[in-house]
Amino acid sequence: MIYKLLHTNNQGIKIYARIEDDGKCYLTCTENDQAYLKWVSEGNTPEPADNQG
Amino acid sequence: MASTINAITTGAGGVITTADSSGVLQLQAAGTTVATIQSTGLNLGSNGVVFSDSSSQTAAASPYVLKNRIINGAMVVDQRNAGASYTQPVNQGYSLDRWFTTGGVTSKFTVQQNAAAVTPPTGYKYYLGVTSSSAYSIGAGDNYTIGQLIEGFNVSDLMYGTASAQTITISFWVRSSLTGTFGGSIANQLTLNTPTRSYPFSFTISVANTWEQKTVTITGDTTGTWGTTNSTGLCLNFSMGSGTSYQGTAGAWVASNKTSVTGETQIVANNASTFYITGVQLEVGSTATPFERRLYNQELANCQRYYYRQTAGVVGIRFGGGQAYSTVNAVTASQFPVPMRIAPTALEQNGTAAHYAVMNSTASGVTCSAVPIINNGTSWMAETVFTVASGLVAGNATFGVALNATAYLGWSAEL
Repeated sequence: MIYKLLHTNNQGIKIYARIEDDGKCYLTCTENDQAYLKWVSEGNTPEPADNQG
Repeated sequence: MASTINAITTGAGGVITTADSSGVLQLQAAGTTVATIQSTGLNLGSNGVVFSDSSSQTAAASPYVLKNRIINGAMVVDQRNAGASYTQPVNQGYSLDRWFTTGGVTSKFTVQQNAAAVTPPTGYKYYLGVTSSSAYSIGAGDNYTIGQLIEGFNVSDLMYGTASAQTITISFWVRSSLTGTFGGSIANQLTLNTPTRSYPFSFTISVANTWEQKTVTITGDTTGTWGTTNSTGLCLNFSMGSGTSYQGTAGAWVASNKTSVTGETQIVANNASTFYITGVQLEVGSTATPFERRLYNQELANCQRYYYRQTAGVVGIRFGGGQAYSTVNAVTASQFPVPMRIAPTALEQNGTAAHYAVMNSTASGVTCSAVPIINNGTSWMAETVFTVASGLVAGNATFGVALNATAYLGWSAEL
C-alpha cells in the first residue's frame, strides 16, 4: 500500500490517493488524515503527482 | 441495638423477632442483616439491590443517559461491510462501526458481524466475530487488536489525569474457541496512535465456544494527558495477540503503550481460532449494570458522527448535485445526516471508476475515468470531485450518479 499525491485543492490542502497492493484506489484523503499521517510518521513518502504538463 | 426480624433456615417457625426501643429495624436472613430501616431511610447494605438476572446495584444509580460510553457496543451497525467479512489491514482499519482493528502485517485475522452465525447471548441479535487466518508467530514489537477509540467529549467527566479520576467498569459478553487468560487494555491516545498511559487487564474464558459475561473494574488514572474534546479521550483494546513489548502486568497503570497482559492467549497464533464479543459497556463506577439499550436510529446516528456511507443500492441513483467546472471535472455536494466529528479527512468508494458517472448537458451519464475524490468539506457537508475523459460543459449543473448498485461514497472522520 502506498499513497500518491493527486492534487492540491482550492483551499491549499493536498489530496492523496491510497493505492492498495492490487493497484486500485478505494480511498482518497486529505493531508490531515490520521492514517496518512501515521504512515508518513513511519518513514514513508507519498508518490508525487502525475505530470500534468 | 436494633429490633430484628430474622428469617431462619433451621428449626421451627421460620422467623425470629426481637425488639428494642432504638427505632431501628434490621431485616436479617439466617442472622445476617441485609437491610436496615431507620429514621434516615432504608439502607440495603453492601449487597444492594439484586435483580432477577443476578445483576446488582450497590451504589447510587449511574446516569442512565450516556451510561455506556461505548458506541455500537451491541454490534448492530455495520455501514462499511453490511455483514460481509472484513480482512484486517496493516496499521489501523475499521470493521463494524466504531470498532477498529490494528496489526503490523495484514490478513492475520478477519472480522465479520455474526461470523459463523452462532447464537448470540440472550437479548442480543449481533456480535463482532474475529477469526484467525493463520497460526502466526507475533513479533515482539507488533500487536493485533480490536477496540474502540472514545471521543474526549464522551469521557471528559471521568476526570482522568486528575486527582478526581473516576473508577470505571467494563462489561462484555465473549466467546472463543480457545480457553485461558485473555488480555486487553485501556489507554490514552494522543497524536498518531502513541499512547503514553495504559492499563492492561485480563479476563479468563473458562469454556470453549460458550458465551460468558466478563467484568473488569479499573481505578481511574490520576496522571497523564487525556483528551476531553473532539480528539480521542480513551482507547479500549482487546488483544488478539500482542508482542512482548506490548504486554504488561494486569491491574496497574504504566507510562507506556500496553495492549495486553503477559501470558495472554493469542487468537492470531492459532489458525481458525475465534473470538466473538458483544454487549460491550464502559461505565462510571465499580459495578457493571445492565447493558444500556439504544434505539437503532440513535445508535446509527452516533456512528455517523465518525463515518457516513451512501450506498447506491439502485443503478442510476444520484449521490449529490453539483456543477461541472471543466470538460472533465465536476464537483458535487453531499449533506451529512448528523454533524461529523470534524470535516471528513477521507472518502471511500468501491475502487471501480466505471461504477460512477456524471450527468452531462443532455442528461446522459458520462462514465467516470477515475474514482471519485475527496475535495473540501466541513462537519456538515462534503464536496466530491468526479472525473471523466471528456463531455462536460463548465458551468453546467450536474449530478454524480451510480452506474452499479454496489457503488458507494463513504466519508470518514474517525479518531
